[in-house]
Amino acid sequence: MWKNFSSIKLAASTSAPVKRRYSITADILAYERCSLQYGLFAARKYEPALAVQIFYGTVIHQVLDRAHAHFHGDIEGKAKGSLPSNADIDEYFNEVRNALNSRQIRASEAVREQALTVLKRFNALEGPTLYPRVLDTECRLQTDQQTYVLHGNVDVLAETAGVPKGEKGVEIWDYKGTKRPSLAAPDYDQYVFQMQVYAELYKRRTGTYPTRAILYFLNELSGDHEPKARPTNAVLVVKIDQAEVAKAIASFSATVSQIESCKSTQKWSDPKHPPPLETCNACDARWNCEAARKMKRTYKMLIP
Amino acid sequence: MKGNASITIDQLIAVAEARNGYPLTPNQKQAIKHGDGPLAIVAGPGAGKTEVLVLRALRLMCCDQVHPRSIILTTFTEKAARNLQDRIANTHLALTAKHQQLSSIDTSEARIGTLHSICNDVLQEYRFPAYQNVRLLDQAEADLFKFRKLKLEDKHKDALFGLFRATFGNYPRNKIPKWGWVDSFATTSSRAYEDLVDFGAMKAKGGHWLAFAELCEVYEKLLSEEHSSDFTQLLRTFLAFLNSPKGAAFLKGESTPSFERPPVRHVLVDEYQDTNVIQEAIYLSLGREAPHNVCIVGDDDQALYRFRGGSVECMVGFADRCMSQWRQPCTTIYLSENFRSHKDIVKFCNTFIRSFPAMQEKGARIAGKPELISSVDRGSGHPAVSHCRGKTVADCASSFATLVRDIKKHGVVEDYSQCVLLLHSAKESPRNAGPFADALRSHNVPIYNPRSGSFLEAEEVRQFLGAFVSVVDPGLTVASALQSPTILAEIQSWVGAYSQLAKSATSLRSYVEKSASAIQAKDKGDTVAPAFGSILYRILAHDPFVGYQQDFVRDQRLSKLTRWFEAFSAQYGRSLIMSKEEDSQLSGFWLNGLYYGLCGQAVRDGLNDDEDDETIVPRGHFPIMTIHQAKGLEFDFVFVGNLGGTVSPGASHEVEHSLRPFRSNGTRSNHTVDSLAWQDEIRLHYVAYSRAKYALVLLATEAQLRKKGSETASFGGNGGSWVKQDVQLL
Repeated sequence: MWKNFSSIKLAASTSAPVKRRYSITADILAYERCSLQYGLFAARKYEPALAVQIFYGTVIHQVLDRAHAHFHGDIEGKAKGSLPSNADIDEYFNEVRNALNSRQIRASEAVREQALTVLKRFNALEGPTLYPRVLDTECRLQTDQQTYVLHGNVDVLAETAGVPKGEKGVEIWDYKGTKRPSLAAPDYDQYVFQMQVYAELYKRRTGTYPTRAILYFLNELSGDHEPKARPTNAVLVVKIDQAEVAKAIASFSATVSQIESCKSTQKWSDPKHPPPLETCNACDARWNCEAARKMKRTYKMLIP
Repeated sequence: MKGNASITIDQLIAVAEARNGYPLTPNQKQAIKHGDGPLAIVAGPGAGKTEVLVLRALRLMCCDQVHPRSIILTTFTEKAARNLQDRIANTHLALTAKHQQLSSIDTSEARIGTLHSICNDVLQEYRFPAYQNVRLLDQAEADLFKFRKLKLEDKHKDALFGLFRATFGNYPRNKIPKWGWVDSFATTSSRAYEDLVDFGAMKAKGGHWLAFAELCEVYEKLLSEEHSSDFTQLLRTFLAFLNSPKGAAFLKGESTPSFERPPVRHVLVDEYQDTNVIQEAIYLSLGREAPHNVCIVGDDDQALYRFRGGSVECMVGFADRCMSQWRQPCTTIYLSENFRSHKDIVKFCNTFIRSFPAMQEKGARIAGKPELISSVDRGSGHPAVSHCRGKTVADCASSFATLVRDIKKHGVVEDYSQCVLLLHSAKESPRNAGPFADALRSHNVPIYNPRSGSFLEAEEVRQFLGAFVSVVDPGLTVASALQSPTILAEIQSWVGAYSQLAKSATSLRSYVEKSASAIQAKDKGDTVAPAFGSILYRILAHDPFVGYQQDFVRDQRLSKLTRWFEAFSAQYGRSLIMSKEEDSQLSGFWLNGLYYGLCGQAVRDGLNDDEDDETIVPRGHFPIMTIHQAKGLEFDFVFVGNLGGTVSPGASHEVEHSLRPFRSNGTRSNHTVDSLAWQDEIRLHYVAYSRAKYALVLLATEAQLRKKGSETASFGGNGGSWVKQDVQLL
């Protein structure tokens, strides 16, 4: 029967490479933290069993987003230019919490209390000077990098205080639901790297770099006593330097190449540096992780 | 976008033509050059519509200096959207190489995606109050939500059964399982929302209609209370957004001090033939500002999705809608040159679609549409359209598999992935893909068939589920009391697969036994684990699952199981809690949710493997696909099997017909349900036949070929005798 078709010889076509989207937090930093865990959850799409961290981060970001909207008059019944009260923060917190609860994402009372406390303190401490300067929140930025698309979500764009009239000065704010890491901690460099990438994204969108980036560590506001002034450690100011930004983008691209290579071979190599201990301690795959064993991190199987 | 960077349309076309290595047709150029105002591009199969869409989008950005953010481009699937993004970006790179001033344009800023994804993004971006903190449920999870939350009273059941009998198949009223009711409500309520029915008029009608409308309200309220939305409600919310002040700001644009949010200026819609009524309303709202730059692209003859609410009448009547809505004529451009198929295949398709009386009815096709014109050379020494027949389906399947093996063996094709077998259903059952899959396997042809519906039959899936059930319900104490023998049998078979495995997998067995005992030892009401998903990973940490994860296909299935359980967790809870009433067993609510909800859903629907969102067919594999799956694809060799089916209206036709009196706009046609069923079936075959580049092979039994054109839509208006007479027998 095949001889009916003997006059044709058809070569298989090769498909064009796919351009994938990469984000600094969900991809690059996650891969750098642990390439195996990234392979499991991001590339092989296993669903993580634990969602506790999602609660804290989501609550912090969404309540603050509402606080900004409140000040800008975007929430019905709230006067433009008014600062959210503690009762308002309670209300926004409960809205977000209920929505998370409906997804069966819950947190212990201690975690909830801490989140609510730092949010109220932030609102009281920073709101009066920050909210009036906010230009935009939760900005989605992206740019085509030829072989991939780089994207990211900037928490806040704010007018820089003290810039002479007529000159536009915009700074990037990023909220972290943690304490400030030490200078030596890998997180420190990663946060700076993240801000440099955001600076590039912002420049692609507007043509100019932001004046600076502010990392705000909300857990520096926790503790028994309410701080009356901003704790020194709450803020890390990242200077935006063109050469450093270029280096960050080159590093971003290099990591993308590594991820692409792992994806094409479907082989995920061990992490280059030991991941933070808490990453391994909370990892769903820790029971049988060869890389963790090599780092002398062993986990006895829990029952059930 | 910065600076004053633009080129002429002719420069754009010149670069595209040089890159492609062939010229664009006059009509393609006309579609790219069309200025302001509504535009319908009616593009037959293989007419290069994607290229036109890509170049039209680039013309707006690169020639007209339209801000990329002002362009909305929707298509049917995420995969197609990514493909469009890539093609736009790559063509932009080619343009930039020649015209460097275009480098400041970032094409990735254009809003390209499915309509659902764009609605979701915009609603979040603009913080629309009705969509704040809302979890968007996918189809399966939305069904599970209905299963868990909807309390159907007798009046609701009477309404569903009385109004939409066809959605229950052959079930008698007293034998319908809960999933049957949920399914019926899911189908009918989605259609009612998508058809923009007037619920007020429905309520005024009283009786069953009142009960049905009230049930829809109950469902909306439940979604709202649970901060959830489904795909249909997402579209309703977006339509409400467009009519709100925030929506006006989105449409007209706004300047913030940090950067500009440009207005919506151009809406391009791919695959418009499968648009539904609410989507049409969204597109018309998006384009409501003069000069109404809505460009639709599609082919009415290739509409496939009425069963999901698609309404080809939106495409057929688009020009009329522009006139009635905006008093503005729509320019229609036909792309009829076919660059895909051998001239005999083109001729076959032209003859086929015109041969049925149902397609001659007014409103069935766009009036005045020209025939396809063959525009590519695919050789002349082989039978481009042929058929293969046998006494039984098994005979056909055997001849087919021999041919597939031989064309690869003798180098006619280099790889199996250049071919495809298209069927109504790819399920590997005796009446569907089963005989063909068996025949291919017996000829050692590797198969790719993600929609075989056999996910639950895979060894690793059954063993894994059996191990999990053995932990959470040892001895199947709770399962044994299930009222559904089908679900119980399925669960027992999982546990059977696990028990067999446990004989040799000692470490796994030890974990499962210890875990089951630990749970049984807990007190009433105790929390066993904060996240039951952890148990899934502990099972996965044992052999043979560790080994299975080294195998790509098995790894994908195990991964899918973890996601499948996530949908369940979101509805029934993540923590494992002991029953407060019964000794030594987990919460009955949770276990019954697991059995009746999750397992019941899987047993009812069958689960499919995930489809790769980047690769169409892995090399080295022969694909078996549904015709729907093959939409937008092309293959060197196309085999079409299980032909000769009779045509009768399905539930979607009946539901559409029942809801017709309440439609608040006139988009839907007034064809009879029989005509609609015929038209849909004819279009389905047309799509299948027009996928072929070099060879189209029909696979049919003698009995199937005896069917007349009034009995089946498979062989054209003259029935199987036409194929026997006019189409070469292999």
